[in-house]
Amino acid sequence: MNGRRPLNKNLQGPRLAAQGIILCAVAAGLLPLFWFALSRGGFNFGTGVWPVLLFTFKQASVSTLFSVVPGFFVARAIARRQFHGRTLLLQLFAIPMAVPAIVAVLALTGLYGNAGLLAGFINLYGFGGIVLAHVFFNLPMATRLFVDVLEQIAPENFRLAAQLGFSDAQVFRQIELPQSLPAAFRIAALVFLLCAASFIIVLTLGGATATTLEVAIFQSLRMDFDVPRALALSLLQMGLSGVLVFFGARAFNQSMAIANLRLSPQRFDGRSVAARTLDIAFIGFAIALVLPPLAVLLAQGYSNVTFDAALRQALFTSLGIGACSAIIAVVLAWNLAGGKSVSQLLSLSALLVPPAVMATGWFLLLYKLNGGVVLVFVTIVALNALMALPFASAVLSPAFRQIENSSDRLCQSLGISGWARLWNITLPQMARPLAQAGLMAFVLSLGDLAAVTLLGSEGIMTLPSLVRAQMGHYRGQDAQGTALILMTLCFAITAAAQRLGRQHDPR
Amino acid sequence: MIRVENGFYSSDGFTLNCDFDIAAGSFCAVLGPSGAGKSTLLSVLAGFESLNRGRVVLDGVDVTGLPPDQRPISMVFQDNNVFPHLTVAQNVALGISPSLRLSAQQNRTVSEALEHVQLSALAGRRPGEISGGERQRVALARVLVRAKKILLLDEAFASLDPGLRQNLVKQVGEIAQERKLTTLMVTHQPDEVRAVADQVMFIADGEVQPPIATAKFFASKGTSIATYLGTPNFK
Repeated sequence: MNGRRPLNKNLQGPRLAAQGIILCAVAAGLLPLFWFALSRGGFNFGTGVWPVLLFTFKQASVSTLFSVVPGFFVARAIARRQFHGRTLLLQLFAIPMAVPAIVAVLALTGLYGNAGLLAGFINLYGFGGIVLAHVFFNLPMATRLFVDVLEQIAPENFRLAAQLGFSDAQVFRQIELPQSLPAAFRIAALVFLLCAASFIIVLTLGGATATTLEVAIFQSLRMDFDVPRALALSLLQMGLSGVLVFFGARAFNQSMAIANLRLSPQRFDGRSVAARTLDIAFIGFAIALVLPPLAVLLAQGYSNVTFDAALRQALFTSLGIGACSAIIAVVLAWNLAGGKSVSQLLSLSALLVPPAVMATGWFLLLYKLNGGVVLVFVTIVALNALMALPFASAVLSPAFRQIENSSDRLCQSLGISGWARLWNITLPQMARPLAQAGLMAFVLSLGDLAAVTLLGSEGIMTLPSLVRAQMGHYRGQDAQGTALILMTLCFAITAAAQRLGRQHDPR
Repeated sequence: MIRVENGFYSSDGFTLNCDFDIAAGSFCAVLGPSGAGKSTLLSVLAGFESLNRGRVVLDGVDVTGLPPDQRPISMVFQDNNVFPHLTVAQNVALGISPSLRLSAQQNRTVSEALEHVQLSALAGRRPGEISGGERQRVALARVLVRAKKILLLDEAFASLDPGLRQNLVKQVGEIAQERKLTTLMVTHQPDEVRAVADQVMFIADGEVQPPIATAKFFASKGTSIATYLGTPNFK
């Protein structure tokens, strides 16, 4: 409605503060590295940079292809059929969103790894494993997004098609394809972005040869301390992310907004035996992708849960980091919510600037302080908050706009403004979206391994880093137990967040 | 000719009883309060919904179990009658061939239909570039090329300005007469009914009342019809 004018002018001060904080955090990440690199001979686009870029493109393209194309057909199968368990199926496809990357890696290892039930089915370490893990996460997400798109097609289109005698292929060509193509590009851009920036999966499954930009940045900074090379890689990663965020941002917001199912349009196509068989095959394939790894982890982890001191310690650390990050992310997202493009861009900063770069910049600035564990904790919280910010914003921003827009005229005519408006009008209506955003930020930080890997190699042990440590020390069973606890925690919180999302949705 | 015999439809607590007969070539308006089941009745006739009991007979053929494309029906909805990625001419051509492969003769039929509804100049445009009234005329042109004997209008002109609405209703009346169509028109506008309909079917309280002559309908007193119509001069 009034997109040009920032909503509720009284929030301008806090908004500027939030923007300033994020800008400072990003600058504190980038500037030390630039300074350091310039004093040591600038960027190094030389050997080893282009193969990494090439591999990043290759794995992200293949992951995107295998997520988006089958995802569309799985979605079409769901959209054009009514069957028992349809809602349950869509809920199953929402689960991977809540699974921490390291847990997914462990679950896939449990099924397809050397000692897994389906050992030898696929080589998990290298290209194949990376793609499989990415498809595990992104095919269900693409499916949910496409179902949402297909269910928004006007019911009259399908009625008209039925009356005019369209075949399934004509329904696809004249209705489904043209109306989901723009969304398909956005979804593909989003999936590509997530796969190109994926860190933990590539780090754990990649090995020496399969390295993406994000992981190569980390390795050149932390293992080789080759800052010029890291900066060259970072510039490439930022350019790539910038393009993808530009195209994928809307799909990203949409992916956060799917909380419930609208009334789906009645369909008359897909009645033939061939169509039915095809649909069953696609749905079966998607279930076979998502369910078995989780089931195996559940079965194996169940008997291996041991509440020892290390686990308790990690649990408390994780909860602490998660809670602090969630609060910061929500406060920042709240203050950016009414803002225009600058605010929106800043809320996405962790998608644009590689976390590995920010972490290293902060490290360079702060390591002289000798802050010890406390400083590490603070930086982990800060990085997690920045990484959760895009998600929190995607929940809060639309809700905030809707509420402000719908009450703006009335508030103006009644002279309600400033704090009174904030306390009496806006906050009560925003309670649910705020809680939802908070829980989502919480779950993301809880399951995150990237920040700890980048910043806290010693002194801090979270649940995800405990899983990784146990995996690394051939304590696979302990890792499964720990992963199960982490996964259960994440599920419970995500389920609560989705429930809140359903309830505040006015439809 | 449209006949429903002992029809009963129910879904999620909503029920509709219908048993009526509309003569071939008749122009029948369908009126009734919101949610009474006017659109449901049209959907049942078109084959988008099926009756729980009873038969639908169109032009002497029992179509109860037939899919929508095997019924002698063209339908115009309130919105979304056209596909946005196809041109005006292509949208009309869909009425002849869903694969858009037309012979020269068929292409001429499309051009004639567009001329009939005064859209020849816009044949190459896409729906996004023409007005709401013009989009509904595209749907009418498609009705012409399909040449089915029954026309169903589901509040087809409800979102148009009054003047435009009058013009289009008049045009539909002329087409129906020329082509000898049996027409059912769902509407909320008494003036439309007076202008084109020779009879009226009233739906209320889950019952489709058999059609009565338009004049008789507007003279009804002390019934649910009178309540629906309200006071003529709104005193």
